[in-house]
Amino acid sequence: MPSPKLIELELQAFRGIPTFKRKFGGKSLIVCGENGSGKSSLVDGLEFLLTGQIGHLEGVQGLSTEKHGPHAILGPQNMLVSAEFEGLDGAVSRSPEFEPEVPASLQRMFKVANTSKFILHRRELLEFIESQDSMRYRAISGILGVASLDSVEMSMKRAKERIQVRLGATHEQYKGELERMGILLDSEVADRTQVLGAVNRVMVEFGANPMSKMEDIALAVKNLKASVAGGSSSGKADLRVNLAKLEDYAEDLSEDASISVLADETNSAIDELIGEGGLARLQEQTLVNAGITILQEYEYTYCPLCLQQISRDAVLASLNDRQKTLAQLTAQATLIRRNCTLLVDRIVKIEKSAMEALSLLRLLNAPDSIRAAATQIVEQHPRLISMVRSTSDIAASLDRDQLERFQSESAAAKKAISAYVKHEHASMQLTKVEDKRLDLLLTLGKTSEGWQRLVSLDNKRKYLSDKRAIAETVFNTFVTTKNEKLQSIFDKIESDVSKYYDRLHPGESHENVSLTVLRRASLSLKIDSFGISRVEPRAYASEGHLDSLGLCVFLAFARSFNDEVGLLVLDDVVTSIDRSHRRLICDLLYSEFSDKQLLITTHDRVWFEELRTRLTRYGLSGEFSCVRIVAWDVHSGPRFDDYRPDQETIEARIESGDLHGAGNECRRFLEWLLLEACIATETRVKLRRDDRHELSELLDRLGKRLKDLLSKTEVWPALKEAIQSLREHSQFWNWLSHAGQSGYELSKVEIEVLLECTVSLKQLLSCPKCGDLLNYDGRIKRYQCINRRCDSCSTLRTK
Amino acid sequence: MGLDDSIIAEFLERLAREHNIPQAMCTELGSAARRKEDIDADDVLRAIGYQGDDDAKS
Repeated sequence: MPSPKLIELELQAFRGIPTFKRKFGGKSLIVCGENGSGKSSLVDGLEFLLTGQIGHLEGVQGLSTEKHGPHAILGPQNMLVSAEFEGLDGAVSRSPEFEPEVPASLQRMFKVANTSKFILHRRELLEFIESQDSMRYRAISGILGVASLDSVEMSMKRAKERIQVRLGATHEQYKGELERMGILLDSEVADRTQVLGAVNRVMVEFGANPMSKMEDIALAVKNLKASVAGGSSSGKADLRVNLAKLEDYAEDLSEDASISVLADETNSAIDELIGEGGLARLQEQTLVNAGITILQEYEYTYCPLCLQQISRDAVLASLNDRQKTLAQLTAQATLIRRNCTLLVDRIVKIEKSAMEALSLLRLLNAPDSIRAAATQIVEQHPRLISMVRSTSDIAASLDRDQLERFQSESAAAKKAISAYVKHEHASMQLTKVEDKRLDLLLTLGKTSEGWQRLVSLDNKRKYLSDKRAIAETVFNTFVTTKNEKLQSIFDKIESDVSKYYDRLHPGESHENVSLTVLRRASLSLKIDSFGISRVEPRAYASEGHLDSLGLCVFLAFARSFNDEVGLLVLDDVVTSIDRSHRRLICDLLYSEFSDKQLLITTHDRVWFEELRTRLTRYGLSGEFSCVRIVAWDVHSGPRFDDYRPDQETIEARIESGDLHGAGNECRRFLEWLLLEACIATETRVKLRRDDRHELSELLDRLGKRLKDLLSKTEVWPALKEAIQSLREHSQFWNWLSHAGQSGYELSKVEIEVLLECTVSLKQLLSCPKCGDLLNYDGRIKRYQCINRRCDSCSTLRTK
Repeated sequence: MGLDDSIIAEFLERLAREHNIPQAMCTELGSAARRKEDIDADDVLRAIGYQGDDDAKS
């Protein structure tokens, strides 16, 4: 349901307008004014009221609504925009200090205005067409109100990826456990199912009975332990197991010289890096890499730092060059970080083994000197880790002495523990049989622990695999649902865009616009051109065609999604579109969007006249106001003149003594009339690059054409006389055309004569009922009024 | 109902109908998805019953 119409708009100290108040009365408004005369300030005012922002001031370096919304002199304290809407008492107002209190009946309109687009500026026409697919998607998803779903989609994708990463790591752990099991049992163990065979081979080798299933291994260990404990080896089993563990931990304390080697290599790289201001350059490297990622993956067409438009390919090439230059530094930094990671891993592993060994040494009541050796390693751990991490951040070199000391103390601890184990083992005085049984017990014990880990990891793999499947289903279903839904909307919009575009470019070689959702957050725009299907619009279309395509896309979206915002604003959008297509745009707007309250601004007087004169044809004269901005300065703002037909404007200027202005208006009036009459009668006129014509040439050509068409009709004598009269006064318009050069100003009488001739010709060429210019239709050889709403159309049968 | 909400509703309906995702999980996913900008991967993982990286056991 359309929103209430705008009844009155008031701006105070806003943009280029010190003060403005206008009654719209629910009517549409067409505003004509020179560039910089304040037209867009009206548009900005409406946008600010409805959204709290001025879109074209946001996201541009140094510009903002807050800073540049207020009038340059009057400042933010005086800024206010307020409006009255149909059926509501009181105004809705917004200023930098306060938000509007939006009545219930307008809340939907304000909400839609914030997410959808109801204003189209000239510079935005090409933006949509020329933007990358991802940027185009972003713009559209904002309009459709589905931008927030991007976060949902990304979260689902990340959830799926996190499970995938965890599954990969678990799989690696599982494989590692199998490998350890293979080494322990001295067999090839490629899968969990092969463990039982390998264990049984060991058991048979030791003279024990094989197991029927792996779940029995805990029982086998228990039985074996009982048999060892029940025999002459009573109490020795636990000691033997603990000594074996202690031996393993001691083995882990053993490190070759690699800690020193890593430290030397790392310090050498650190010296080079810090010596050459490497830190700053490394950060630069991070920035360059991030820039490349953003430009490549997200297809930015503007700089993310300064928000200026950029040539993406050129910047990418430059960043890639820079990346190569900085690659050497990166290699050094990578080496440092890799070495530091290895060092941390080794220190942590040694410390962990030392902790475990210490715990066993306490249990076994080992001598203090051996326990002290392990304690010393544990105590050094936090200090060393902190030092290595600092080096990893390229903040300082490694303290090689500390690392060497740690290394030699670890080696000493290992030696002491190994000696202790050997001594304790010898003091157990085991027989060969006992030793063999205890070896089996140890192997089975380790296998049992390994088996539990293997089962746990396998179950974890299955669990993660199930969750990954669910996460994938969730993500894929979400993406499919979203894209299908959006595509169905785009299909509908496509047909509107193509319909509008066909109306603007009938019979031309560009048709069938298509909007297609590509991969995530990407939307392609294609068109059939010259029989080649689905090409990028820029491939073959002119700038004017691209502009009108942008306009059609905007109008199609407005038709589909903005019905709750009754306003539709076109801010100076036809600059690059030629005269004949502008007329078709008029027809499109008046036939398809007459239910909207339109605000159309233009600096182009001819387009303004086109918009104005064609209102009658669609019976919309009473629904529109037409105003011209005749002057602007920063102190008083734009000066609006309500539109009056040219004859009245010229007469008013003559009356006020503004003969110069009246003369110019009169020349423009004649120029417009001759051009329109040439178009309406299909008069052949030489095309000119600047679209400007000599009035005498237009009059000559038109005169000949009218004679060809109408010399046998009753109006011809009067027409002939009117044309002749204009010819006789041609020196007047010649002087006007060269005003300032000839130094001659027309007198009041001369202007009145010229105006009378022009008005006389216009009346003869117009429908007496509705005032529209008559048109020649070559198919039926008639010169007639084509206003569909004119109920007594004038028709002349031509030759 | 906005377009975003209708997409979420259809997504949940398809999850249940086409993929036999349990209703309780769909409900959790729905309430996570309706948080829109405030959703993160943890919300999705919780909704599908993922116990967390450390607790993911048999």
